[in-house]
Amino acid sequence: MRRAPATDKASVGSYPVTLSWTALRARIGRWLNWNNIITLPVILAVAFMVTLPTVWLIIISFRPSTNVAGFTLRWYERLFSDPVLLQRGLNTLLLAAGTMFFCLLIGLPVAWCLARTDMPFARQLNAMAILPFVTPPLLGALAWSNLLAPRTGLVNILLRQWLGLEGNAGPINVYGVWGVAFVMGLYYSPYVINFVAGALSSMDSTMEEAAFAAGASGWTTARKITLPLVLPAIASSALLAFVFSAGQFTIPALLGVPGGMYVYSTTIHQQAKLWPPNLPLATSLGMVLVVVAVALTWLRNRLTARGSFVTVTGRGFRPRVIRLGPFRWVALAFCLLYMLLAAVLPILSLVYGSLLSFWRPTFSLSDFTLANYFALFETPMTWNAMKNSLILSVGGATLTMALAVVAAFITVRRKDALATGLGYFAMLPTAVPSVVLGVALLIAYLRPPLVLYGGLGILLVGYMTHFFPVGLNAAASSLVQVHRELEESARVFGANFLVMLRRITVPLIKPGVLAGWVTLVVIFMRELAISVFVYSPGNEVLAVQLYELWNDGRVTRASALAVLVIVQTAVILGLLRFFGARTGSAWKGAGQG
Amino acid sequence: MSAVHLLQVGKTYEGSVEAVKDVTLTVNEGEFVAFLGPSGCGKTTTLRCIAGLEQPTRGEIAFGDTVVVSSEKKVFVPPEGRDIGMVFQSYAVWPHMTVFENVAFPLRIKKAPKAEIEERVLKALRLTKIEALADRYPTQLSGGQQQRVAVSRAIVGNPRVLLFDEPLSNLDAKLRDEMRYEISRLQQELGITTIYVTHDQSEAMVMADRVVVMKDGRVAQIGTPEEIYARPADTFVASFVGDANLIPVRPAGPAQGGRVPVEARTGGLRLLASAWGPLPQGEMVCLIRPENIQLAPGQEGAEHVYPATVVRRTYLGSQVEYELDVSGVKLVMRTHPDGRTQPGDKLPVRLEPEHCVLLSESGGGA
Repeated sequence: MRRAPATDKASVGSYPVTLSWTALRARIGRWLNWNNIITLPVILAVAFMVTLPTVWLIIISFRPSTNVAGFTLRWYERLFSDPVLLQRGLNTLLLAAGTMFFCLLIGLPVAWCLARTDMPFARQLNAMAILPFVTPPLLGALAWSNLLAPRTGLVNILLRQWLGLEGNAGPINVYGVWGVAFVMGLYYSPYVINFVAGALSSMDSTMEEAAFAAGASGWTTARKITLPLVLPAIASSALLAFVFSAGQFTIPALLGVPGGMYVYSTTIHQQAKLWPPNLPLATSLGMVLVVVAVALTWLRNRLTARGSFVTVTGRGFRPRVIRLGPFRWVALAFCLLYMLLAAVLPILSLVYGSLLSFWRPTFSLSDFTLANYFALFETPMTWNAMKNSLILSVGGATLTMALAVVAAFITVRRKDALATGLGYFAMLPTAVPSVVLGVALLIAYLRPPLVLYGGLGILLVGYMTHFFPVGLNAAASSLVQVHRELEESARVFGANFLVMLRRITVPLIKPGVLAGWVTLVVIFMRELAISVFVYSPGNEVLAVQLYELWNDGRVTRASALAVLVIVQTAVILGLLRFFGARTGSAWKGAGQG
Repeated sequence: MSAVHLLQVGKTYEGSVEAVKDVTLTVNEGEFVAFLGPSGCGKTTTLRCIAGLEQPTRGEIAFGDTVVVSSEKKVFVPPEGRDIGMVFQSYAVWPHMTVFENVAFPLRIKKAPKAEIEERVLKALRLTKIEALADRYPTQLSGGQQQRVAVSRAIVGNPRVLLFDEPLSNLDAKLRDEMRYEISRLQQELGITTIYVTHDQSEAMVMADRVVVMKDGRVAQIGTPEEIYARPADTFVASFVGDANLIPVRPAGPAQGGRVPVEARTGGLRLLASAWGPLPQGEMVCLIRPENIQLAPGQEGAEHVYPATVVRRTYLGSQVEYELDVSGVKLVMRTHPDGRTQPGDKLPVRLEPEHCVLLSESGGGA
């Protein structure tokens, strides 16, 4: 018989002990294993990042003024009595409802065509459903202002030319609730498409066949069987679009504000950038947005948790394909029109604008120049913004993923209260719209214990706080796929915890983590809603510079910068695809701006 | 290798699920022992406690004279310190390593010299007949081949104890038979102390030197496959291992030389049964295996021959199954096909006392 393993390698077990000094030492010894040495600082960091701005957000909203301690409900009362603010609340509601309407109007037919019909090129179009993410809110809004601004929009110019209309404005005005809702609908409809197409294609089609066997017609089956089964997916994605658009800042800022249409998010920015800023009003507006988001998220979870997805069995069902006959070309035309509006036309309008020396009141394809691009590269500010954006996105994505991997390890592998708590806590920022977090960060990091304002640090922490859930999702979803026994077998065959992490776990989750990292780099490169609050002069990032150019009316220059950002995003996504990583799931939760 | 001792091992999960209540047993050096039981009986938890993947809340486990875990002595050797080999239900073959690297892992962790690693890995692969696959990645392998990789990896380090956690449950029937044989052969060749968890009674019977039948976190019976089958400790073991006719009976006279006259508690059947050891306490049940009921045509009136009526006849290919009514008691009998008997036919059968075994009724049954 071989010699037994030395017992001094044994660690102390977790047995109930009376509290003596030795027992205490034993308890500390039990806690001081590698697992806890790595996980505790991460838990503390996440807790700090989430708690500090949240607490300040709440406190300031009840203060009589920013720096005067006290308790008042004055600001909340004003929200519901001041006619201007009431109008803005109504605008916010209308905008969110309108966005939801456009999302469903676009998303439901597209999802059905992609998932259940014999529409040509369905697979290729499916892959393109993430295209709107390539033109994020900032660029989309800029593009749609190029296209639909009442006086200078290309579409309006062309319509006036073709229809021979009098005057120098119209006929379409994007600078209103419905215009903004339309653009946001284009941007958020991928959520409806993905959710509903997913539910439709994973549905057990024998349920429909059973209805046919019972004598139901195609129309009755669709109404009585198919629709109720995918209704939770529809409702859930519609609520998601509502929540996101209620807090969305960038599109209303670019398309609503010029026409005087303010919503809560743009009001928060307006109040915070006043001199002196009215932070209590800004934070109380933010609190209302957070409460609405939390309530609707809760409702959404209830909808999806009620066992309504019983049809998704994971068995390899081939959903029944509906033959559209000649109508399949109509379906294709509809989907292509969506692609055209959501991605192609905006990008073309940006390219067109970027090649003009000044924005002209007529449409022509001549006198193009690269002057805007040269001018951009000759401005030190552009270089500075690029440098800042690069540092922040690469550094921020790396730090976020590092935290996310450890946090994912806790939430996925530990089945205790700590794991559940961290899981909920880390996801809190998804309920806080960027613009609300922006103002909270500004308040929190202007004062001790951690003064970050005035440098890149506050931008870094802001990005990490808000997009940590994106990283956590990416890391957790790849860790879930690593069967527990793969790790256990490493332990059994002689590897300690750290060796197991290095040799087994990390290599196995690398593709998912890499995909999460690249997603974060792309998001951080273009982030505006947080940046616009917390940047300080000299610390501008690309998105802020673009916003400033647009605010100064330098539309062509802004278009050129937008084109550069799109090219850069396309290159990153292309590289990602080249390296075979998958982005799909990582995009979830990236939708706020 | 070494013997494995479990002393009053118990495991209660947070949330107070008592998975293992009290398990005491010894697996001898070089012995092949199967833990057999329905799902939720605690067999896998017990195995995971032996591996160090779970920490028992009570009791002690020792490999030879080394205690690897003890609640009393506050000892816990983590899995990597126990020198074991293990084959998991999901195989747990690492998808990012070649077959060679998978099998080499235990040796690389021990920092064995390169030449020795090469030699021992190839030997292990040869033993499981997959040396040709050394450079492949697991995703390119079939389930059976992955299983062989998992087995090679478990034996390559010549561990003190070899553990199997339902390793064949994901394979199809034909491969399962093949791997059963392979694993038994390997274990006999290497002589490593082996514990094998399964819910498949035929697997346990075919492979193991001794079988540990478990129920509700406790050991129901330990014994050789023959003992477990022929002399089950109670009705649970009897019906879990093989098919069984279980007749509730009560004594109908004094015992004599291990033979006890009994009568069915319902129906008019009286027969002579065997008791192994002392008479069971409490309610008694008489076990008769279907294959131990013999046809006795033309022997009506002979000793141990009873008149019976065929209730149902089921053709099973190599055998025929009859449901019989013997004096108001329903019995299932299995025999060679004869092709003549129909429901309603009278058919005398022989019930030998040695095949009528008295058991105590276990709570719950199976």
